[in-house]
Amino acid sequence: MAPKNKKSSAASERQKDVDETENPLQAVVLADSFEQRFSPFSMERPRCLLPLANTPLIEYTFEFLASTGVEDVFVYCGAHTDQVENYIQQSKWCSKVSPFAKLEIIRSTSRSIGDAMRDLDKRSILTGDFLVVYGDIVSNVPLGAALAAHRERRAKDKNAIMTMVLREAGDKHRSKTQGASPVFVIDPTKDRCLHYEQIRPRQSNHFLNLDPDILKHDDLEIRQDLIDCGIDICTPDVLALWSDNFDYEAPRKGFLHSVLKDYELNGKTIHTYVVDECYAARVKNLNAYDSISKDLISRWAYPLCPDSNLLKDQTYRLQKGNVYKEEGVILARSCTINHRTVIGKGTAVGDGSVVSNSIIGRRCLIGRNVTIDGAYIWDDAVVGDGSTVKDAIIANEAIVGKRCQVLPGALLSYNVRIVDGTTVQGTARVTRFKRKRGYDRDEVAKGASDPKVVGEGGDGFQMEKEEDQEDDNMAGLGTSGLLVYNMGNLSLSSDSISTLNSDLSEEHTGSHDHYRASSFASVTSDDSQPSRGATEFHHDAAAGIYDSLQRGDATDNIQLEFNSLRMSANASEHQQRRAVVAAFMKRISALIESGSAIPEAVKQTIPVHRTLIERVIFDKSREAKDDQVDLLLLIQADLVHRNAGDSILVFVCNSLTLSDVIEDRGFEQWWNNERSVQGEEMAKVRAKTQQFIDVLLADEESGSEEESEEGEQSNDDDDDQDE
Amino acid sequence: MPHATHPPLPSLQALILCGPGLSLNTFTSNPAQSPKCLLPIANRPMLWYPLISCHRMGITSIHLIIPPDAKEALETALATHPALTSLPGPKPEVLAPEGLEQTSGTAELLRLPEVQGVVTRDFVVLPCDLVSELDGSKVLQQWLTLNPSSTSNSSNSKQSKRGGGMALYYPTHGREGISSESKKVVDETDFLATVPISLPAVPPPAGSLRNNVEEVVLTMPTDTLNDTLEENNGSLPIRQRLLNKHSNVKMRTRHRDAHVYFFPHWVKDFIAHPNNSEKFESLSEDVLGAWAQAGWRPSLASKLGLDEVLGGKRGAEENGGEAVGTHAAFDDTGDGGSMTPARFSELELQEGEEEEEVDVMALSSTKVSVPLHVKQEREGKWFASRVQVPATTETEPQTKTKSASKPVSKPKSHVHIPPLLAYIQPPLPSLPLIRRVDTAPQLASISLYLAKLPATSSAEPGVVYNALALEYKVHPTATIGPQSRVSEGDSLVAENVTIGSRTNIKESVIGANCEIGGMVKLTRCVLMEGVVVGDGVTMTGCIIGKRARIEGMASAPTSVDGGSGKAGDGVGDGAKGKGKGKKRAEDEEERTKLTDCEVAPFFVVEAGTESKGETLKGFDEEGSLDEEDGEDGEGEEGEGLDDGDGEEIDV
Repeated sequence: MAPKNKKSSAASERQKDVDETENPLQAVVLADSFEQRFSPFSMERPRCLLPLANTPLIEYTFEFLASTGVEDVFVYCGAHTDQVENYIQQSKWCSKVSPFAKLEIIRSTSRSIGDAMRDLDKRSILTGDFLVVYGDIVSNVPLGAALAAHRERRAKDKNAIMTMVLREAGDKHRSKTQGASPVFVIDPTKDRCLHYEQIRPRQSNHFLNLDPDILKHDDLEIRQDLIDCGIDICTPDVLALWSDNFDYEAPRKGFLHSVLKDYELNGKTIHTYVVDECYAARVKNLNAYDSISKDLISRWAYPLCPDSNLLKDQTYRLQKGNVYKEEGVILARSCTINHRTVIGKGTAVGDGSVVSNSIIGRRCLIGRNVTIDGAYIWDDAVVGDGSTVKDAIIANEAIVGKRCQVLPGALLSYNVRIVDGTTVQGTARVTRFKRKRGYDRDEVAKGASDPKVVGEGGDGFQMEKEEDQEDDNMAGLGTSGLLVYNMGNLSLSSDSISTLNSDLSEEHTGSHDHYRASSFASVTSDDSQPSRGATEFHHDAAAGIYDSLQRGDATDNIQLEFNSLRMSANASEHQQRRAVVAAFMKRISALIESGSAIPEAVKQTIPVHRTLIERVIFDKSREAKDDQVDLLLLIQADLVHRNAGDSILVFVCNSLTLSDVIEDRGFEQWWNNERSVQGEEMAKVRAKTQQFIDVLLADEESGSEEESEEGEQSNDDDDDQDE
Repeated sequence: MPHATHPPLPSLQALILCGPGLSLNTFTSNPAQSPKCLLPIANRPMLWYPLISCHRMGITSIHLIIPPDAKEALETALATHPALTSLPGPKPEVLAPEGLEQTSGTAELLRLPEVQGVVTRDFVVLPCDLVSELDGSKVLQQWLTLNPSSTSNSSNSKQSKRGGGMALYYPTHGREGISSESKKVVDETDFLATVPISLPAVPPPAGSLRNNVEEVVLTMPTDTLNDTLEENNGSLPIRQRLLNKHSNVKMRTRHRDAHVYFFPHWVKDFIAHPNNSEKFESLSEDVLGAWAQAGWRPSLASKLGLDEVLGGKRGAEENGGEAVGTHAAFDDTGDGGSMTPARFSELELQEGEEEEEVDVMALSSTKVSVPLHVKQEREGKWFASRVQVPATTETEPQTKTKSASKPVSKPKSHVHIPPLLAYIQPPLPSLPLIRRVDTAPQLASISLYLAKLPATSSAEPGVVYNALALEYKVHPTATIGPQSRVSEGDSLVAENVTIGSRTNIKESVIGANCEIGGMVKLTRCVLMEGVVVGDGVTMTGCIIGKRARIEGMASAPTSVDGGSGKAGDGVGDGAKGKGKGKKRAEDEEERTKLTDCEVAPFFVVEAGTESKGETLKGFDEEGSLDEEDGEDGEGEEGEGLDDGDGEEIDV
């Protein structure tokens, strides 16, 4: 026995060695971060292709992966997959000299990182340990030591499933997030992360609650000085965990937080690897974009700097004072190029212009006597004579006319045209396109120009004004995005705004449901400020029901799951209705998107699972049908955002009547409820239902008499029996 | 005993607090007669250890603070005990304030007018139960260098007003034999949260404690921590304000406060401040706890009156006047620094504040300067990848202007709270031992640890001896009977001990004037002075109080009821000093056998007793009676045992 054992163990060791050497290092690049913090720019182009110091962001990511010895790369795209695919296929990463053995682009309809990870699990393309990074990372951290530490830990303990690479920074640095900042509680002896939380720096009187189990460790570190750039070394177990928990969406607030919390349950440990040198940062938002650009120019991220010429055709050269110029830059004799400036090929700067602390792309035309300071001007943009641009971003092919003032904080999107002599306010986010919410993805449509913003004859409009659907959310995002970009002028008022911003940040990254949820809140006033717990409940419940509907689970099972969630969250009746409605409507829309006719989709959903809806209505016996009205209002509000929402509403109402979920009286009260006609959108969506209601009410008049008679009769009967 | 002593630093005095020793109550049940500070650790009174620590730090002005009732015992010991009389330098001063009870809290103690009057300079507070191999001057050095304001003017013995404090924490784990892992009794620990202080540009030399000095931001005993956990439904709330101010907070749960505090002079006023007199009871928990938190909770700082104390706004009248009054009564040290009355020193301090302080660090050529690489003026922050961010950013004008964006500094309180630093010893067995001896198991394990140290008398030139090592393993005045073995590597035998024949002593500490019979087996035992051990006794892991008597075989008390006089003849050992009643029984099973027991002073353990893990002590405080007429007392006290004995022997 003994020798045999030895042999087999030796064999397995050899096997392990083989594993380690032969398994190529794989990496997943999340090119779509499922966020919209770069709007308006990200409406037309994916974030990973936005130029950072005149090089698309994803180049830095690939460069980083190549330097760590990654061989297989999977790029996950959500929006604008075609653009990313085109770009990558033309780039050196697909050429013969590419350091990657495999570079695959995965198209998906994922709406969150959680979806993407679950999708990855299904595909089972990842064989061994792999790296997960975002498509917007700028880093020169060598990962060799971290990978070795991870493997060593893994060999000892199968449950060490993940290692996060974090960069230590001081208390203050310019790429520190201004909204929620992450707090890691680490056991330094084992480098194990014990607790994760995001705190808002301005809420000083809040508490971070530590579990006594955590305090059982001899040593602890509570660290808020770590830059988390989302570099994770994962084992396939991580994907399995994502799949097991369908409600995880964000990798930190969702996944990490929950896995750590459920340590008792699943026994998995997550570790950290803290590096205290080299550069690592994520271009998360415009503020980070600004500071990382500056770091690149100041050569903090060497070898990642403009004169490394990451792209094939770049010819940047470093000159005195961190000025980088490509070949073929045309500078007028009397213009001044100050320190920390990057200028791309074919750009011309006119007489008397002053450029400092700025990055100017290729083929730009800078007129005479122009002052540019701290600005980012992308390719093919034009700045007219005598204009001033300070701390602003001007996107490709945008045109700023003569004698314009672009004030600090302004964002000018692609092809925007500012007429001569206009002053662009610092809060402006000028774009030519507006986003329309489709179910599956956002569609972009051209909007009408607003002369107030761009001047008479200009092209473009202020963004959030047109985006009435996203009312407060988008506005909040917009202003905060700007204010964050504008850090210097920030006063205390940023408190509320940063809260809004971080609400939108990780937790609900671009999740569709959440937008819905919030817009409900504005429609139905009874809990217009849903508490955190409520939001979580809504999110979990809606996602749960939707998934079950998709899988075709039995109604009872769905009900069971929903009940447990409801009880654990102590959700109000309204919240329950909200969740049910959101899930059903999403399901119906999904069916319609996938090609079924509207009546078919409704039929597949509502009558089958009618008990689910019935269980959230408690007023059948009462005169005032508040619950039913509420339900209908929720449905109505939800459908406002859906394609063909008005038609769906008709069929849904019809179906609800036929399955006796909603009584006629309920419909009547809903129809007469003032909230159902509040706002143009609401009125529009119910227009088609008018006919249905008319018929219904006509029926009711005749029917109600009978009903009342029957009622009386039965009452009489009862009386008889009593006697 | 030769020790390297440093030239005395002019501006430091030591207070050694001699408490009641509640956890050692087997041996300190009568604190007036035998105060805790006189219990022997490795044959030296406990007090010797903090005293030697002070001497190694070069502190000569030492005050022992003790409740009045135990004053006499202490003074006698100071005058007579060889270990204490052999100490160099001026004698420590015994201070027994009127109002001091055995149960007084340590902060209350410092508030007493007598103590307030004595403290005229920066001071060090030590407990009487500290055993420290660590050279205190290293800690002192760190304290002085990290609080530049107290050193810059040290030449003219000027006290610092704004200097920080320094505490000492030692690990309760990671050391074999002494650590709590091997004990049933879990050591008391403190919960400690610290933040790193900025490292110097030049790395500290090897052996420096600099790398382990951190700033304390939260500290509480583990008991308090558990209470807090209960109050908050099982979770510990950490204020976000702390995390905002300090982004890297380390927490430790298995370190303990050594209760050694280096305090600047103002702490005296801080403790006595009227705002705090209600709140502050214990020095370690309340004063340190509050101070640690005041650093990042400005509102707390003003609540505690720190701004007044530090700002010096408070009139010196009330406190100073009081201090002067008591000063006259208590201060007669004649020492250079204490000649200045409190009021004068107060005035001097205020002058000192107006003096411009020279920032020595700014003149240093080795300090990294912060390059102004990009538009700092716009954001006021920078990426700290290679740039050292100075720790004291508040004092920089650059950040001061940005105070609006900083949630930390409230404009209201301008006073900079001096940091409470701490040397936190890492849990490595190679480092010098620091322990507080306040439980019986600790007393035993520390005694045995010290017993293992090589003796200084076995002089090999060039070898550096441990500062706490004893001169002799087996004192020359001890007599050891034939065929007896004392393992010298790990045992200590003190003066005038007599040991019978065929006795085996391993890993034990035998106090002065003990009498040990023949055929005795002692393993891991600690015998305090004057213990009498009868023939054939086997003891393992026991701690025996002074003048206790462990009867061996069958003893022959003169009292009638015992009836044990008919025990068999003694073996021809002959080496017994006082063995009039001790004879050897034939019956092997009737041997006295004690395992892991504690025996109270003056207690008599009857022959044939077998017990394990018990504490043997009298029901009342008749220890002194016992001494006078041993036999009677023994009969009364050990009645239960006696009966049992009698029966067995009758058979």
